[in-house]
Amino acid sequence: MAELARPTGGGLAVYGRLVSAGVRGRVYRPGWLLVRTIGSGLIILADGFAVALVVDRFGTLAGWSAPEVVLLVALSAAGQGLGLLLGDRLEPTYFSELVRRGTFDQVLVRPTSPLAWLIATQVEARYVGRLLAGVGMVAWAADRSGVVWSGGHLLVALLALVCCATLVLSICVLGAALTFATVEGSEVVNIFIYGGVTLTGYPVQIYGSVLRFLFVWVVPFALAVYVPALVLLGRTGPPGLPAALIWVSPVATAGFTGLAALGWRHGLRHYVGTGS
Amino acid sequence: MRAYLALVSAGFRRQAAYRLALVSGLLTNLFFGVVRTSLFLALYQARPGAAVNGLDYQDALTYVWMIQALFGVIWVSWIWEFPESVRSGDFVTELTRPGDPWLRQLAYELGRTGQLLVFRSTLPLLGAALVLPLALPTTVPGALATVASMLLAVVVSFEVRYLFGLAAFWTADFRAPFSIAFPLLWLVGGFTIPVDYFPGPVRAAAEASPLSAMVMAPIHVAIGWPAWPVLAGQAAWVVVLGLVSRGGLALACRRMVVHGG
Amino acid sequence: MTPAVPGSRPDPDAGQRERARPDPRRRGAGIEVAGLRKEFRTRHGRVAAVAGIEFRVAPGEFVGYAGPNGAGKSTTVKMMSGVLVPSAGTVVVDGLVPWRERRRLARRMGVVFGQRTQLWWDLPLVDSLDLVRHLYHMEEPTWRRRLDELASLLGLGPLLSQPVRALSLGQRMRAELAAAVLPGPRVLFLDEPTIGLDVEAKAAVRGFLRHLNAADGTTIILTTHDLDDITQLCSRLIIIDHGRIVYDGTIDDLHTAYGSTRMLVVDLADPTAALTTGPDWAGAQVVRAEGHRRWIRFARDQISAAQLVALVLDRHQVIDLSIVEPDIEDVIRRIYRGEAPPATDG
Repeated sequence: MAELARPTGGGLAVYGRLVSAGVRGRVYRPGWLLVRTIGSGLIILADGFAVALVVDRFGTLAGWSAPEVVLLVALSAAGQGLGLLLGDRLEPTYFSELVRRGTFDQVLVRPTSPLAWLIATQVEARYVGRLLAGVGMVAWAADRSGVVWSGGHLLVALLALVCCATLVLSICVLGAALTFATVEGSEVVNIFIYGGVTLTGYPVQIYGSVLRFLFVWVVPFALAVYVPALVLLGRTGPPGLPAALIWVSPVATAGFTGLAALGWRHGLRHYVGTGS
Repeated sequence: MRAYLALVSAGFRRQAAYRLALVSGLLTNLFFGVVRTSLFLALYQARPGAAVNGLDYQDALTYVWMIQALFGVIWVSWIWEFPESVRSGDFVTELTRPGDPWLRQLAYELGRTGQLLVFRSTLPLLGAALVLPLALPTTVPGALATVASMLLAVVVSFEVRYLFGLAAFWTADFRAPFSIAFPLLWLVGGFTIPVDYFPGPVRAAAEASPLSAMVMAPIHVAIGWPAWPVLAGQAAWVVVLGLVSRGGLALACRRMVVHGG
Repeated sequence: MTPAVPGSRPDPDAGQRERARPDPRRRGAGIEVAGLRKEFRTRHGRVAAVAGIEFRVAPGEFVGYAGPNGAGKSTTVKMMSGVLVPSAGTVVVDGLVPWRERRRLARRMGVVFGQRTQLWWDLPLVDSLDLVRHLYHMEEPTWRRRLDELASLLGLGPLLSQPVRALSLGQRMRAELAAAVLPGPRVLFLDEPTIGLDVEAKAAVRGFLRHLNAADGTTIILTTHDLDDITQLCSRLIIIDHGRIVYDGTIDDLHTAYGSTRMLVVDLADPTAALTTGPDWAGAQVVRAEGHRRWIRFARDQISAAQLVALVLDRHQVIDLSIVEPDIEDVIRRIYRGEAPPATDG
């Protein structure tokens, strides 16, 4: 018998199987999962409905009509759904439990990247509800705002979805990395995941300069969602945040993701260096 | 009686132990408060000086900060503790102790939410009051009425959560009914936008439900609605839901004894 | 294609030589630990969980790693498996530095944690094992052959289609072992694998580990509190206490060093025969007699088993005899308590 475990090959397919195993393992209660998925979607719809109602009452929000605002809400909600689908279990409460029980050590002795393993095996299927509801709302809002679905516009919408999801996932990863150092302190990331997405649901010009700077250039949610929405709606955008910045969106997202990856590596090294 | 007071104090001290959670809770309150303040300020700019559905912009801002104050005490983070203890069987010991388990839980809960109210809720609210033109009561009776209304809201929310928790006696999927109901409670309760903005019939339905006793009531009292009718309505719900939840517990216990939970 | 001959030039990546049985001596991994320290910062200052330990494990050795709770066992194993970085000193496992080449080592290493599972709780066992195949990039035919072999060795046949949560503790531990050795690791770290198992399950696990070490030559490091594990499986025992090694040697040497006793059990042809000991029996004593059977206790540092057997055979007709290893627990307890071994002279 030579080496039974080969050193290379396979790559991504393994993670696909891990996702499948993780989801299958938890679907032995399919009814329950369906309920939570629907519930997850209904929350988004309720939010969208409420926003549409209130903006309609007032006629306009900083020059944006109700359907246009709902487009923002929908894009950010869908992105959040996709991001949390992958990253929800990295949240401090769950992740700290994983570390405390020693389960994380078990992950470390696997021949895979620990982060990829954690994400792949802990997909939270119920967030599909949020994603689908968000996409549905995007369709509704786009229709009401007169968005033309050209090939380019479809790509832009997809870009917004993917960038927002990537940002949410990156924040989750940062949260997990922080959990290595301090458990309760890392709860702070939830503010960005939930607060950040809520904030992005409204046109960015309503906020003060500090918030605007924070969410355009530091945690670039506005670049991920607001700017693509500008492009879809054919708006030029406020000074300082024109639609032309669409080219910056993926770059900024990638930059933030890189930071998150660095943070994770640092946290992991710290953990392996000092133990639990 | 002393036992119940001791529970209140125990609950208070238990919540006080989570220092960092308090800080992150305060920051969360602050963040959402600022975001939604910006929203309403921008909305009212389109209709300067006007009142929409009876709310002018000071009322709306007061709504924002009071919702932040109420959120953590209405939908508490420990919402699943009770049904989990039922599922795991720990709750049985509660039933073997002398006294009233429902009252005991209420007492403990009041202690915990009391701590949150004092430290996590009022600080951002008062801070916002210094910076923004909120429509908070300026008289002592007004302030007292608001506090009373908040306390009544907490009790109503306890009872509502208790009802959902009772599901644990019947099914292991006790989160399911809540999961489906929550979006409705969220919307109709007024957590995203004030119920006042809803179209006529929906608004009437919302205000007739216990949700308004839980959420909008203290806000209405704060912005200056006549306090007594609101407080009376809340008290009525406290009684009704109290009877229903206690009845539910009795039913559940009988079932448990018969079936051997 | 010549079969591998012990002592010839080893070629571990010889995929073509699958059919030949390679030299078990080169199958397992070697471990070298030198000057190893691990300090943690706690409320009470710097605490050394491992305070300078040193040992070498040859490929194919079966080493027991024992010590009181908090002695530093799991810290050492974590450093050997790459989960923890030492404060000082070196560890080399199978030619790799564990924490630096963690994933490479992971491919050649198996770890079984006694009370935690690496299997997917709600899926059928075979699905977990299939995932192992993909994780370690095993070829399908290789995997299938290995699976069949392990299933028959560990009696997993009827269990394969059941979800892991439905298995008893004993069945689950056998499944964990299968999952851990399926990719043919060169070193296996076991952390309390027999804890909580009944007698039959323990026997099954031990039998399997013995086979694994003998047939595949896998190096095995067994951390355990169960002394029967040690006596039945390990050729060597390392005892750690307060972060330092207090004993490193064979079981026999342990007895010799700490002067413990053994028991010679003889079945005499004549049940009425009186087995008396004399001055030349060097302190050996008959401690029990039942029918044919006599139990003779002797101190190994005073008389060897062979000599004693010769003495008995000389005087009596013996149907059968055996040597019973004494209670190692007693010996280890003395070591834990810090008793220095008495001076030995040959």
